[in-house]
Amino acid sequence: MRHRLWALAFCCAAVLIFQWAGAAQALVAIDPGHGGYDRGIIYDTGGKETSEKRVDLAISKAIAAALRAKGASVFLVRSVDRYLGIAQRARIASARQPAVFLSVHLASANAFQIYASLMPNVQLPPAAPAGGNQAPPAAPAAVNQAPGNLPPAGNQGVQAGPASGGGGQTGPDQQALRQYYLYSMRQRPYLGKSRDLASALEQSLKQAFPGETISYMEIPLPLLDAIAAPAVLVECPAPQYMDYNNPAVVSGMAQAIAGAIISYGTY
Amino acid sequence: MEHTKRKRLAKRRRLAVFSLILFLIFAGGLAAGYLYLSRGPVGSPSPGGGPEAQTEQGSSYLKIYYPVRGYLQMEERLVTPEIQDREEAARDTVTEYLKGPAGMADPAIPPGAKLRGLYFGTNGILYVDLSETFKSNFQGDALTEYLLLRGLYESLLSNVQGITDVMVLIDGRETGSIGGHILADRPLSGLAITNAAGNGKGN
Repeated sequence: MRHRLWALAFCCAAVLIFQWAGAAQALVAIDPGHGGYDRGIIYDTGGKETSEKRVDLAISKAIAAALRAKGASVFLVRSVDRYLGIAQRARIASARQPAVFLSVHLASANAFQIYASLMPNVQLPPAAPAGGNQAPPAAPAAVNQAPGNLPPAGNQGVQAGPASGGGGQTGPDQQALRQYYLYSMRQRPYLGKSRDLASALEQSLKQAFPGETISYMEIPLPLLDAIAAPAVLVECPAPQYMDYNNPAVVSGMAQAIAGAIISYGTY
Repeated sequence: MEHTKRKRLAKRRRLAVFSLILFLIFAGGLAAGYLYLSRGPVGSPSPGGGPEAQTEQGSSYLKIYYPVRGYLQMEERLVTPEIQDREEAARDTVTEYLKGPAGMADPAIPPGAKLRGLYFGTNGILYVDLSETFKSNFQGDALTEYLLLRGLYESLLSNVQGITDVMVLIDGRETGSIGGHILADRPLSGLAITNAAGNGKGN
């Protein structure tokens, strides 16, 4: 009997250790919007200019600190004032395979806006036959040098090359296009989880800022499209309505957002 | 014999009347369907074909979709003289678009932005070359940027014949993004997806 109890305790401990190890590996990627010569929105705050890029970075750093305090692993896509394009951000974040991706921006109004991606219904070109030459994965920017190669899209979705069985052409262009779409459609399997994360953020922000307007929207956002993890973009209220020079305000916001990510349950 | 013949004739007549009624119902349905579908809702005008620029005694009407407080708002603009070809339609559409919506104190259209040129490319893509101020003077969040580009795309597709897509150039070159949220280095049709979720309003 005693042996069985010991065995049970051992199993429980093993499960807990594995869970803890998994949590330790789960990464949160935080992407402060804009940077460098891209200053984002320039706000007039009482005769003084406030650039969005600076506030985005400050909030992101505060969220990172709040998450670390809760035991999470975090990395910032940019931690200094430098310019990064959308494709670069996607590449930097994807290289670390985060469990959650959060892009931080400011709104132009007095409201929190939470976005998840709205993705077109793309039909991928057929895969190359087994043993054929596979084109290397192409980032969106690389493929977009030839915009004419991209198929037109309608409201019903994007037709990316011929459908399977429609001729079976699998040339290098087709494969590059396929790789491009595979890259930029990585969000698709995570859309449901991204909505859950957005919902957790909405609830947490509502609790922390009961008087504020908090909206949720889905629009086509290429940065989120390229992330293979639950991914949302959050816009915090414009500085005219929120005193970001007050550390308590920034910290409160960061705590609410970090709390949502933790409660979302990736850990 | 006579009776059977008359009966057959009456049956044929009934069949003919019934067929006529069926045909009329079918034709009426077709007409109603056409009328219903030809009236697109604001924000999703009819794709591709065009031209929807309507002409009237020396002037033309253009449908312009402006980003206004989180939505696309359609305005009809009267331009004179009458639009003669699709290049003129495209030029007038962009020019009217850049003027911004009527009576708006704080429009989302970047102030000072100018049209530099237009090119009809292959595959039905219209290249719209705008001045650098379209990018540098843009002040808006993700939704504003999305609606800015979507509005331009919808306006052009509504008024210009034979185009299926629009590509924005800044000072003659591809640009990564206008405001740092939406990629603008590709044709804009990828933005024309129906919004399936999201309230778009505050809580």
